[in-house]
Amino acid sequence: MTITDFIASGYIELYVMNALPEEECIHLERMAASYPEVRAEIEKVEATLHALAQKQAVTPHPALKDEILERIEKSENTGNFSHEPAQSIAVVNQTLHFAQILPYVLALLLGTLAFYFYNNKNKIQTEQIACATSDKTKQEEIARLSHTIDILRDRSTKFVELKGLKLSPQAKVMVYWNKTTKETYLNIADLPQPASDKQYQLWAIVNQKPVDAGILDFDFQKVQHMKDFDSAEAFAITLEPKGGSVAPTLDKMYALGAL
Amino acid sequence: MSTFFVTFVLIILIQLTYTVIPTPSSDEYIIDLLRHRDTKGVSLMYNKYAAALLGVIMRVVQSKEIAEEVLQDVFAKAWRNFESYDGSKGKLFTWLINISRNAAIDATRAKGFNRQNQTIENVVNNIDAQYQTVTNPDTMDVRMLAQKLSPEHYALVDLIYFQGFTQAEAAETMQIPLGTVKTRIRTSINLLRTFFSTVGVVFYVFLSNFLS
Repeated sequence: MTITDFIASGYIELYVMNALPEEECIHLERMAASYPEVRAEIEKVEATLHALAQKQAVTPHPALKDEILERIEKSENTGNFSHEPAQSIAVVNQTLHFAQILPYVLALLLGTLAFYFYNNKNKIQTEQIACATSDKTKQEEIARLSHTIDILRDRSTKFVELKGLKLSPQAKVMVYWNKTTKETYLNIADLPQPASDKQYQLWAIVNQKPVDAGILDFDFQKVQHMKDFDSAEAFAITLEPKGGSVAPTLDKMYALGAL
Repeated sequence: MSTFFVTFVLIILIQLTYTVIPTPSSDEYIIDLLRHRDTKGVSLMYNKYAAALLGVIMRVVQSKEIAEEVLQDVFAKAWRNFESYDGSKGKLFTWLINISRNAAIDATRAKGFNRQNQTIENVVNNIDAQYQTVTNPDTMDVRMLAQKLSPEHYALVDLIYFQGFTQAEAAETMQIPLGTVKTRIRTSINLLRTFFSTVGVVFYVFLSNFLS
């Protein structure tokens, strides 16, 4: 009898149906162990009969499951059967549950990623706002500088050189006054470093009286915008207490220049 | 921002559905639990097979109440004697069906039924009558199969697989020579296999239209 004949004989079907005598079962099991075709055929027959059995499934009444579990728990508690240590169950659970917890791990991972990206996005947004702000200040600075340059290039702007007096003969400050726009600009060329409680103050001499023209930033780089004047005869710089004075301290005059 | 949250919420929802809707556990998992005497294995085995096993029992024991008692015994036996299950000999479901069939036959013996005095006609008619009482729409297929495709072939499967007849008992009831049982059972299973395969269903529909 070839394997194909054996498979076609009907033995396998009867074996799966539990209708084969003991000695024939043993023979078939031996065949199944040696021939994968037999093994495969057993599984096919099983699948067909399982499908048939499933087709006539009848749903038990809902309480039956609990009754069965209760009965089994009870028989366990009365010590009818030996127990394996609980530890081994934990081991089984650990190894078997990996596939079951995998979706949760993935969800957690994706959740964390979502949170991370969300946070990152917030950070980037803050940076963007900061960038936009600094960009705006830069734009303003450029506008201011280009205006200053315009003023300096303007033909109606008069250049007044304030020269050092007795207190510091080397002092030199440039004042630019525009007839048309009435704007006054100033650039320090040379002045001694003031004490920390002192500041230089610019005065415009209008109708022979000194008028406050603003406090100087002690910055050689900067072309500073001072107060506007309709007209002036001269400009002077005095050293004043911090914050400036209402009237100039005449004995602390550092530089002077007439228009 | 919202995209991430929608995705996140969706994933959580999918997880929840997975948790709420039970999916059948793998046999390997159930077997491992039972080998380690974990009653969770019984619970999972029940979810997966109880309805089918009750159907098997009810092919022998017609009363649902008695069949459910038998089903209780089946699960108790399976739990008690689980070490006798040998995976190399067959699937868990095959083993459970064998226990169920035997338990069902024992129950009818205890109630004094005599299974032998059946004729081929009343076997075939019985199958039809029994399926009509069962309110499972799926059994419609089985009835159609039993009626249209080949009542004799189906009856033989029913006698041996569900009623637990021996080859000799089945041969006598079906009035066929003992040697024919094996070949006819082979043909029957092949018919069923064709019937249950997807292509087979299409073929069957074609065939039944052609025949009627």
